Amino acid sequence: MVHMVAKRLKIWLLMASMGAQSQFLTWIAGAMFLCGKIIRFLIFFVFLFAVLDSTKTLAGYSRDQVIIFFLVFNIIDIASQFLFRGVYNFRFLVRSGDYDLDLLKPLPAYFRPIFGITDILDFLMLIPLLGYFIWFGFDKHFFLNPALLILFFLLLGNSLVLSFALHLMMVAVCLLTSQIDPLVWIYRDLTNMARFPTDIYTKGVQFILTFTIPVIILITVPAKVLMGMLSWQWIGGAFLISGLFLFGSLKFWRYALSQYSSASS
Amino acid sequence: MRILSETYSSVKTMRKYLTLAKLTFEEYFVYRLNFLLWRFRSFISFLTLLFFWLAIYGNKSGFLGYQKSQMLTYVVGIAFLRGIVLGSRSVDLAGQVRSGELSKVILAPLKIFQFWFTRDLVDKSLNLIFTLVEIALIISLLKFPFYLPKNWETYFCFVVFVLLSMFLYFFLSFVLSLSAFWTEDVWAARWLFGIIFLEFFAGAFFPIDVLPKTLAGIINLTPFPYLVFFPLKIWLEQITAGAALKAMVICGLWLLFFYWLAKFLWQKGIKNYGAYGG
Amino acid sequence: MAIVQVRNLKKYFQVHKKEPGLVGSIKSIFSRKYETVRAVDNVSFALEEGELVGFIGPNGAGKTTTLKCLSGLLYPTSGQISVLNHTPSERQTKFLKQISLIMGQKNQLWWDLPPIETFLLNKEIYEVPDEQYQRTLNELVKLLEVEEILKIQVRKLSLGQRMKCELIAALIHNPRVLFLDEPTIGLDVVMQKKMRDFIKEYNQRYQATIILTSHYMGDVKELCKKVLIIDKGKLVFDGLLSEITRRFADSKIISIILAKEVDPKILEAFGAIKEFSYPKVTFSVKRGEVSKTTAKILELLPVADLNIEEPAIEDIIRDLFIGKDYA
Repeated sequence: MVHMVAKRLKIWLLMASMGAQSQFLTWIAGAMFLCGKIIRFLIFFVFLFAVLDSTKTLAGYSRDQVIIFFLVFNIIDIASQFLFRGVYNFRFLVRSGDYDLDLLKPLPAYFRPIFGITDILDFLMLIPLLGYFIWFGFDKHFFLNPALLILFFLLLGNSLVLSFALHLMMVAVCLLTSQIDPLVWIYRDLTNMARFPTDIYTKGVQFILTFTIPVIILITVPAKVLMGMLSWQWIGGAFLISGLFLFGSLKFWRYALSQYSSASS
Repeated sequence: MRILSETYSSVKTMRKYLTLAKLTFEEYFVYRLNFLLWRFRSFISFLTLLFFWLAIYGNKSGFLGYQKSQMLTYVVGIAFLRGIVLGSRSVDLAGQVRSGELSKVILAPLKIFQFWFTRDLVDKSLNLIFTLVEIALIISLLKFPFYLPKNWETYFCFVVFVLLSMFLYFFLSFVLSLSAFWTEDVWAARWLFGIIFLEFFAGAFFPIDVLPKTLAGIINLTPFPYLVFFPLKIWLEQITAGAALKAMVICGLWLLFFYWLAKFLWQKGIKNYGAYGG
Repeated sequence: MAIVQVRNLKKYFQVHKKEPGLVGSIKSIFSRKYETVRAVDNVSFALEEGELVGFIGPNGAGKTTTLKCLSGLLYPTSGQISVLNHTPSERQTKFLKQISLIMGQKNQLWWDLPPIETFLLNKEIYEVPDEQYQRTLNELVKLLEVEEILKIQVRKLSLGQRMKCELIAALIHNPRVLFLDEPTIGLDVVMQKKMRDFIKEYNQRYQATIILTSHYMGDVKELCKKVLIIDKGKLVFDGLLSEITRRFADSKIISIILAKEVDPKILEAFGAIKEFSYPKVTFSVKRGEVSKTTAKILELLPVADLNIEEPAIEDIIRDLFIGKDYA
């Protein structure tokens, strides 16, 4: 079991380094993307600082708390994009038929579709972001309770698992219908809504964001836990929902694979 | 203006472009999923922003120089102007250059600017219809105070400015697409300038003057604020007549600059075009 | 123990027919007409280790489908397949490590990087020990003559060079069973020969069992002693290539070179004329009558040269599938 995980990790690292090498060749494009992502982050950041400086309260949260929400959102969002970028290329892989070659490799069939492309630029953004987050947390006294801190990191991991499950579902749909872009964009748009504390939305919207694509579990829950604002039911529920999604997505993926293997040209 | 009258005066030419418009419209029906998805996404970002500002204002009526009704109107205005000013198909131009399909277009008796502008008009019209429906829906559901200008001059100024912005955006976007003649990574450049810079610096997320003064000052030196921010400032009547006029003039100057740049780059690019592609 | 065992393999596809136009689209939302395509219809055969076998048949006969079932890409509708004592569709790791599927137009080399990088990746995926990897790599590189290009980006290589590297990438783990789908498609004549030589060499050197599908008789004639002919999903022939000639060709080819011009009408009396472009004439004559006809020709016609041949395999097979599309 350990050997299997180690082997997959090794292969992932190898593919990631190959991806990075490919990127160096089109480094101008990469630089522009990195630039854009940084600008987008900074502008929102400045905006929040400018706006919240005066109000000091957004849906009952102080400025620092809103910043924490924003930072947690970015960490999870960027980490997801970093790890699961393969989905953006999957449609092409299926259409061209090259995916058949991947199916016959001794690797899990979802390996290439999800982990196949790793964008080193996202990683480059993630490091300073994490650094700033940790500094900010200590500076504003958010990290005082070690129990909460541990719980927070556990929930971060939980969010990544949930994100994986969601991406796996999207990839399964792509296998069945050869379409994936609409789903990915809907997913991105809905998760982007969690840039701000989700309490600003009406109860109806929050319901959608919990029970369709569980954005709230994905992003708001870890942030709230860090600030000691969540009950045990929510925390337990978060793990439970991730587990359910993971289980469901694996089942759905297997179904999609069997359909593909029955009908492929 | 001269170009417009030249092109559309002759009935035959008019028919040509009308047919083009009809075909473009039909294309939308074929790719309706994509279009609906685009509308859905616009709607979501519209809602998100709306909720954000509603939450910020809470029970306050004034903040950062905007009355609650004005800020909410601003957000509605963004949704409206995104469709009208920023709606465009000329992004496809870059794809056509890279794939070689452009040959088909330049060999046809069509003028390139008019060709793309016609297609853009269709895009804007469709967006307009949908946006109006969405806005009406939201305003009636949330029952909020929509700010209507008091003077008729405001409406007039607004319309003129929006027309200027439409053309400004058209040529700006055109210039971006033309980079396809010289580089493979068009989409990176388009994304950076056409989406990131555009959305933030045009005021398509929040009003520019919400940001610290120095930053706002720098942004106002770019052409972007003239696409969304200034027209909306006019609508909200937060800007003096003199300042409005100044803004229109600067917008016009930017327009002329990008028109000239587009023409220049187009002619340069098309000379090299035959070399590859197709 | 046969290395490949196929029993009563059936693979049916459900295809739905849609009528054209908008009306058709709306109709198809409510009721879809499904048609069953019997791509592979009750096929059985067995192969021993080290055999080099060709699957041939017209377009759409079921060759590629059978190959995909054998490799595990497709689930059979019914029937049993056993390859290397595994059920391919289960895609167990142990099974996957011993097989390789090579399809003409499909690529696995990373486009922007040199081929050697993909080789290293596959080494890790297939868990090939360092020493074995080096050995296999060197041997394959020498066989395919690609020493110079291993470190050049794939995108900069010619089609032929790329194909050779794709081969290495697919073989770096020394598979015991190779599935080749149209391996020479799209290649020029020189490359085709090189590819065929390589496949032959690989089969002999590593005793790998190779199953290939092809449109080109050249591939089959040069490589395969054993041939399986599939038509409309059914196996119509399973045996040696030489047997086809014996069994199915009931006529032979007599070709002569005329010394003088002869009226074509006279020529027709000797046998069915396959080809006539002065001075060469080609007759198709029934086996039993070859001696008689040859004697008659030599006696009555001004012959400068005479040759008796077996009919071309292409012609035999084409005649077997009269009216079908077969290259």
